[in-house]
Amino acid sequence: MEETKIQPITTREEAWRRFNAAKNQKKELLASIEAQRNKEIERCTATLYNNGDMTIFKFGGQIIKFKTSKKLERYTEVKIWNHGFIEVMAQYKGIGLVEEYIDLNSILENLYIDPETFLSPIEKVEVKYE
Amino acid sequence: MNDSQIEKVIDQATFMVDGYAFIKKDDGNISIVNIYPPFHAAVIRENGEVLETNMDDIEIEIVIKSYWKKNKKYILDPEIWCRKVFC
Repeated sequence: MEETKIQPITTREEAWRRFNAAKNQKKELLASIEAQRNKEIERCTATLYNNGDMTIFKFGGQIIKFKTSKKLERYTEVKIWNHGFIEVMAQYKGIGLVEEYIDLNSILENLYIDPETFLSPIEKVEVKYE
Repeated sequence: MNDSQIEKVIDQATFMVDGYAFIKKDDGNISIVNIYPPFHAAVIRENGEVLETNMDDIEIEIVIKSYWKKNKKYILDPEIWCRKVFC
């Protein structure tokens, strides 16, 4: 892989130019993260998926991870969302497709997140693998 | 987290490192709370296994492999903490 050569800074103007370019890049990145977060909140839809034995719940920029079974292969469909209580279909190794129940309220309390504030904007939860 | 919650966390903590309060819970698990915004937290077992968290991978790595590993003796063996504080 060809390495890009960084030109040395020779003038004050060049230094300021690079500083401003980096600053603008950071601004754009933060703006895109904010836009994605607002989009999520606008849709009022949270996402649920697993990565091995860790289940991940994402909404409004918050990513909450909690331990689940090592035998969990993947979630397939959310059946019920009731203000922190999730009924979801899950595929387990050696067991097949079963109904799984997740209570987010106790997890949020353990993480010092106010369940009422966090859960009230969420209207729907969908299974979505990245 | 509001000020009263932060005060409560600080009161309950056995020790604090770099703004992270370490609290031993009744069920034997350890609660780790950052008292500065965005107030990330984690619940871990004594062996460092993560049970619940809203920290990202880098943060949890630092908290467990550095802060917890080096200071867990103060929660797991209260005598060491007493000797450190009072002697």
